Amino acid sequence: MNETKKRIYEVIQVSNIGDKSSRAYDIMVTTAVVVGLLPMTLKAENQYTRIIELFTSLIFIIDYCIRVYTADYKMGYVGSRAYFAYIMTPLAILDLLSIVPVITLFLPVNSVIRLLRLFRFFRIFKLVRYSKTMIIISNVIRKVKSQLLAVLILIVIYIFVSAMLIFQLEPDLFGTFFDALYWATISITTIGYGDISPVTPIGRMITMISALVGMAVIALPTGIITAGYMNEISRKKSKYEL
Amino acid sequence: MKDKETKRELIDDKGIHSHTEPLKVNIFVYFCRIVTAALIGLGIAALIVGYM
Repeated sequence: MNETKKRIYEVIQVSNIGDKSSRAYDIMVTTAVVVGLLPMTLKAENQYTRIIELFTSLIFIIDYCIRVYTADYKMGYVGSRAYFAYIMTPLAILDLLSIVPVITLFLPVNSVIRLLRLFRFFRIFKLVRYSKTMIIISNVIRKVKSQLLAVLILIVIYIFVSAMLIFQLEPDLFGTFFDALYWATISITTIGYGDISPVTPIGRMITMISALVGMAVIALPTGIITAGYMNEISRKKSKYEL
Repeated sequence: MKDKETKRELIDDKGIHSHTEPLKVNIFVYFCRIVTAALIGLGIAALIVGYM
């Protein structure tokens, strides 16, 4: 029985070279993810999108159940502790959320149902399991999360400060503080739609400073992730060379 | 030819298929392929109906 369970676990994991069953399973789930997202590219539902939703959800439900069943191999614990630990992992939560839209097929359409349908988007995260590059990137993000968080806090503080300044200096231009926040975000990211633009010299000066600071601050996360990615690649390279 | 056979034997002995019957493996692989093909077909049909 344990041998069968172990084999099931091997099949649902990323395939090793020569493992036909695991490869076929990986391709099936990957196809289900891609096809399951297709209805989101269409304006209206049709008879095929309903079948796709049912079919892909069935695959994801079975996949989720199998992953929970083999959780002890994945987590390295024994018994109910493994199952509980597994269902609390980020990927397992995303798996569960991606199954939710199936209930919308059996309920009348309203705004809540439409919102639940958007949960289909979570299915894209299933692909992370099957791509080695995505696994590396997620590991890198996990390692540099404190630096990324620091930069994020810095950006949020700057956006709030510049929004407060411009809101006080140009009260006629901004109806609400949210408009000022929107302007500050669009300016710091150097997108600059131009739908809201300051008219006073001091307001324009703040805009110029925001644009300059934006160039420096927005580039920081890219640099942090790139440096982490290069470190991870060279670490893996040296590991194989040893 | 002999090399090929030896190689296949090695894969069968050391490979991950060792726990399951080859027939069961084949059935599972074909099942997955049929489901994949059905999904692709449904996806193409949904796109054609959705955009035409």
